[in-house]
Amino acid sequence: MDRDSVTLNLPRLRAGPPRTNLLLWGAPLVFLLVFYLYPLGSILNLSFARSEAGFLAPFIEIIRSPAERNVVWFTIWQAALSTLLTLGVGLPGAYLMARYQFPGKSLLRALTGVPFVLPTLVAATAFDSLLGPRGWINLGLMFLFNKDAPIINFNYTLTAILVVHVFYNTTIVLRIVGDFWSRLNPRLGEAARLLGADSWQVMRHITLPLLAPAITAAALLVFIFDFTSFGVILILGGPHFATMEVEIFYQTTGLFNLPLAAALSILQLIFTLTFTLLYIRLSSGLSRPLTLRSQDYTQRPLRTWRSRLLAISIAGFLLVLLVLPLSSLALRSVTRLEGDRGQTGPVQRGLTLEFYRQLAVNRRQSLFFVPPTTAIAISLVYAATTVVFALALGIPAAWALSRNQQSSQNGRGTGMAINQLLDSLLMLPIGTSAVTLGLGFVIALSHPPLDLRASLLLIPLAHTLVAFPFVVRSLTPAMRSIQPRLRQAATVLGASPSQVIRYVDFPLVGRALLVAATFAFTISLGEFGATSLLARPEFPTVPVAIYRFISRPGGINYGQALALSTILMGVCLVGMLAIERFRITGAGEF
Amino acid sequence: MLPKYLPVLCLQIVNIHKAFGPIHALNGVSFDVHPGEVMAVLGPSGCGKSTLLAIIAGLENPDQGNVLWDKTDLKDIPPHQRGFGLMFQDYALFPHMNVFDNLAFGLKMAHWDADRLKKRVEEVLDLVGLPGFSQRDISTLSGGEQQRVALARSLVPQPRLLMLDEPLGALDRTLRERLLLELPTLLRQMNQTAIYVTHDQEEAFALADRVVVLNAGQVAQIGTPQDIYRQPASVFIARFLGLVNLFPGEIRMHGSNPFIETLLGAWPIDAPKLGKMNSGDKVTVLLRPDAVDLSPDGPYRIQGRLVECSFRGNLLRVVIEAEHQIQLNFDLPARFQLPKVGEQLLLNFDPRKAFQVFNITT
Repeated sequence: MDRDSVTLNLPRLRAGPPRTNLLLWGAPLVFLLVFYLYPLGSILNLSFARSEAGFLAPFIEIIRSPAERNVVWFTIWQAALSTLLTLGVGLPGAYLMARYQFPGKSLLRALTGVPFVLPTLVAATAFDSLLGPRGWINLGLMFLFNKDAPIINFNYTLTAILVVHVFYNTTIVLRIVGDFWSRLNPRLGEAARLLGADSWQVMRHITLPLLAPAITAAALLVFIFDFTSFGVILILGGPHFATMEVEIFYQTTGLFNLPLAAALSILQLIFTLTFTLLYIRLSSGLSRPLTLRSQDYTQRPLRTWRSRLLAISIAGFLLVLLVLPLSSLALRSVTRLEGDRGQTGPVQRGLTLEFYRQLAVNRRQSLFFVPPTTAIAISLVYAATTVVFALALGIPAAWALSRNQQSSQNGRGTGMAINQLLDSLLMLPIGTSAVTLGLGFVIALSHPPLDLRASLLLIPLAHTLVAFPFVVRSLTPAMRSIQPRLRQAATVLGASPSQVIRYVDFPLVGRALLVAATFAFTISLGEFGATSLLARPEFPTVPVAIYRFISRPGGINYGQALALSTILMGVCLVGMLAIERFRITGAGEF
Repeated sequence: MLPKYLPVLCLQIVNIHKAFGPIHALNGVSFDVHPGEVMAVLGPSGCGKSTLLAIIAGLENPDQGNVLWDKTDLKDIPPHQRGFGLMFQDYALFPHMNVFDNLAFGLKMAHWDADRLKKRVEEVLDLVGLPGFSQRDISTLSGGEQQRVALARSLVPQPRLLMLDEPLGALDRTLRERLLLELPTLLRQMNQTAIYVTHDQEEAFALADRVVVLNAGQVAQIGTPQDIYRQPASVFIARFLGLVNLFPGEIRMHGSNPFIETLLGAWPIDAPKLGKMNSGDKVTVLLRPDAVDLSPDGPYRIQGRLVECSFRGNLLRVVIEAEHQIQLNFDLPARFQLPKVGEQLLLNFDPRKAFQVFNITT
């Protein structure tokens, strides 16, 4: 954006919140309209057209059937329980990351980000390789107690579902709450201490209320993720557990009951919308303009033995939860454990690089064989494109949301209602069934007026749809917390609107921008549901390539899937470390 | 809750050491604060003042040394049980509470019942001159109002010791000067024992009963404001107090009468001012800025070219350049008519009042 165009926009920008909002919301709205509502409308329309008993019949079926009611109820309570557990694990971690400096911190931060980007398939396999019937722990226990049968029963239990949900989403709490916490003035807590509050009272009356916007934002994201959980439940839940998303999948692919699937999709959307509205209701009263501090000011080294012990136990727990399954996966990818089928004799074991070597071998002479390096390159290009799209759409949207929050405090709440509506609208893509959405893209965007079948942008667009809400959710709390006076001060000092953005807003939300970019990048790297329906055979992403290997029988294919998962894990780790490094030197503290 | 007039002896700071890595923030600091006294801790930024407050408050642990209250060691008492108040430099007002809830916080922690609590909060709001501010939002307060709310919040629970960390630092001059008058009155009115941390000697002198000057983590001098201003204990303190007319000299004896010989001339000096110094000692000489007169008569004179002159209302501040490019600052009564900048100026003074000498090592 050059300076002239900004200057020309100035009078319009000052016209008042509703029109400003329309300007800021323009691009995000058009995007949602074309790439969300239009495909979704198409698929739902097609589905209900098949319902012979009318539009309402599938809904009545859901209400009448105990099985379907159970699915809805299970979806809700497992998500709530998972969210609580995730907060329980994530908040101490966020505290550690926010308040202390210690060696290995950026490595820990990067490591904790890795699970989030792994395809569900890989995460499930990782846990299977650790706790499953043939996992390291069961093998070890069987060896110790000289038993033939696995001792720990992990797969197909509720515990497995909860553990993997916590494994996946802890990083959301660490990042959103941790970043916000790291900039909260520690003097507030000290002031409360001196006014007679003990540590718990400081937590209850000062820290938690001030963190509330970040915690609710994180909790909502985690909840919606768990609510729409698909791969984890499909693989680790077994036949006993099904969320609505899994049920949609069964109804669509197994039973071809498209009307019921569509009704479930709509029900899932309604739930997501309700939770989002509830969240907005809660959070509008929670957010305050805070004086944010740089991390140099808020963080201290681990000086006392108590704090060191605390740090070691929190970091240790995070490492066990997040890193153990991953290293178990990496180890499995270089270990041959395959015994013959049905054989109870000793397993032929050994370290091997065979699985990696096999990756470059086109054993079936397949026409669509793509070497993993190409798949990685494709994934990275898609991810970078997604980051650009998601930020381009997310920044104006988050800005509009934060501006209105502030102007409504001055009694001008006209744009508030619109904003609340838009705010919840942009959360819908996460709440939408990936299966439904993927089908919608295939149906709606493969013929005029919008034929994108041949376009390489199709997948980044789908990824942007998923990443967009995350970007907005990460940016809004930081943007809201910029005191309006800072912008005014800059304006009075002669800064043009573009200079205000460049010298005030950008440095202040720089860290949040990086968090948002990380989210967009990693969501794109790990997205599988929609991609699997949209990817062209000659341009697979890494998750698609992994799926190709895993869906073929045989130990060597399984090993190759593990090898490629390990490579994807490595790529994510390198990316995360690079972002951490950049954060310290480039955008700096603030 | 503590009774209002606890028969306290005093706060004793005993040989406090604190290092952050290689940096020695505090290096053996000791002093006492008497009941009802306002003690100023004065020093340049980075001298360890805030660290000292954090240690007294219990927010930091000293590497060595003790903080005693009423002869009891506070080592194992956490901050919230010490009954001390601290007003932070940036006020640290709770942004999610209004004025009332900020003020009431301390009493809520002490489980006061709602009626008494409300009465006390309004009493203190009146005291700091903010009646009717109860329901105001923190973000709507001006700088001065925030300062008063912060002060009120630390006063409400009637702390046995109130600590103020650069409380006037962020305020404009007029407001600062008004509060400089109000604050000591307020503190005395309540017989409040207080430690007042500042880098501004004017503030420290205006407010405090006694001043402890810190330099590089050590106590440089303790005394009443008058003592310190009249008899700064070292060149550092003299400089810090803005007494900049310092130049080298040497002690000589003329019979039994000591005098100091400098580049600008030789002058007699009172023997008691020399302390343990002897003839032949190299010293640093301080010429007090307010000890000169503009009349051309008198036996002891100093001459120089007028470099700068500024009118300060009740006085004229002049800078002259004497021989050997030594610059000297003086405050003259405003009634004098001054020559123009660049002209020569002849000043006379009473050497027995105007001089102080420091051992070269201090």
